[in-house]
Amino acid sequence: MNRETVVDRLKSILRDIRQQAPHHSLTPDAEFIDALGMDSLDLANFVTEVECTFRVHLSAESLRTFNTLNKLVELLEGDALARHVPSAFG
Amino acid sequence: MANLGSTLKQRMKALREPFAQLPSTAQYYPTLCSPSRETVSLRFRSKETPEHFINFASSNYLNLNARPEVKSAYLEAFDKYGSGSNGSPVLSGFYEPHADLERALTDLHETEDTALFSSGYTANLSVLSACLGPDDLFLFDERIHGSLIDGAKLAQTRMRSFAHNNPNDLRQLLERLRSTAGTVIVGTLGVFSMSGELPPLPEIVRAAREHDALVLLDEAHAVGVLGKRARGTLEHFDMPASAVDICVGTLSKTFAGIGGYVSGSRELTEHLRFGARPHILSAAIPPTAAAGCAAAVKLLAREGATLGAELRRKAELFRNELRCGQLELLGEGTGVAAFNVPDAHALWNATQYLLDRGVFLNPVIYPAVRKHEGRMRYYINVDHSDEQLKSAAALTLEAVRKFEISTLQARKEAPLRAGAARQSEAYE
Repeated sequence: MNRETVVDRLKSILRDIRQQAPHHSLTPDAEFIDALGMDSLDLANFVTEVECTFRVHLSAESLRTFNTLNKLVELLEGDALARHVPSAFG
Repeated sequence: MANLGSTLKQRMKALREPFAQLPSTAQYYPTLCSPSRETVSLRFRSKETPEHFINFASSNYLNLNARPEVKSAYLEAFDKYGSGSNGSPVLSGFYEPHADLERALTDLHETEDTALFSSGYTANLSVLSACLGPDDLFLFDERIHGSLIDGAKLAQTRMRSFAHNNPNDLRQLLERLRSTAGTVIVGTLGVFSMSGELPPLPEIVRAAREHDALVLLDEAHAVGVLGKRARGTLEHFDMPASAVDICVGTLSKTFAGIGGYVSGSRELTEHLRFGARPHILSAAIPPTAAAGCAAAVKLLAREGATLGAELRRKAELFRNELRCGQLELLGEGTGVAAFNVPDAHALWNATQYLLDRGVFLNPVIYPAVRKHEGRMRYYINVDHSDEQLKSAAALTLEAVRKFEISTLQARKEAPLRAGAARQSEAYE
């Protein structure tokens, strides 16, 4: 799975969870809370979906630091490298 | 040097954001000067003397604490056991009235056993933190009570909401996520207290069972109200106690005391008694409260059919009066009447209009409901007179017109997700 595919998958998850957010707002650098208007319940749902899709462990708190799609991809890349799981990013 | 004042000031800005949208907090935190039944005397923070109101803000649905046998139970327990429990139930806080109350609740719910907790909040924290872990999953209705979300956070478990009252959305999530988790608990409420809605419980249970998931039902606002003997939502749907795995209840609403409980299998209750940290690390409810609640539970067991039917009749009368004024309400058939007022200023003004005319209710805003979903919410009491209900409904309609709470604003709440929109069409 390349970086572009990962971003597309994350966008698809976000679209499902934040259906009120305009599509053009789902940019790689849009902040989850400030730009997309996600609340704590949205963040918890997002974490679970990301965990189940990419088979990783995250916390809702981590999304306050890794608070955009780009930053989250970096986190997932780091996690995959740390666990020697090349399959997530091919 | 650390300064608590400046720390609090920084945090206060974020925490008080919901209240900042209101003209003031004067409608909150009143001091009650009488029992809270169909009427109440209370003093607001901005006032010097108490005022008398028709009360729509109390979940004391059946006024069981006005009954002589409940009063005597409190007084006799005080004479025999004193005031407080002075200990965790595991160590030294579990008295004879606690055991009696557990038995009475087990009989009421027709389960194997019941465990008591210091509050409904603690019961929900306990049950989820003791039953789920990081590799498990809590699937819950998006409008579930915050105590269950806090319980899932304490469990550090995965959590995912399904669209409100939408078993199809739940089923889709189970199909996709079930294989990624060990234990899965599906959670919903017997009555949604902020809207007065019922869940489609048989369909939710069926979806859970199809995917080997456990079911948690929080009956806090259903006991004393729903079912032919007023024993809750399971009885309303003619479902046996075994249809759900975990039944959570509270002692601070219909039973007019303090505490919470979990009723179910003995395996579950024993696990919670010795495994749930919020339970082990809290003092037991006072023996006086346990004795009073046990008397109230026994009263409900004897008179639930009559009391529940009367409460539901009065709630329907009140809802009908509002509907006649073209107000679209959120729920049906429960002890709660509610409608949306998304504009915070209109909500505050309409509430103040009613307070100034002797009707007490609370303006409900986030975090009790999701952001921008303010609402007017009325608890009906079995001893409200028909005249009181008609008069409060007429004043409500006046306030709605005066503050231009539009039909659009008062309409049913917008679904949070597209799945909910599809489902609400299917169910209406």
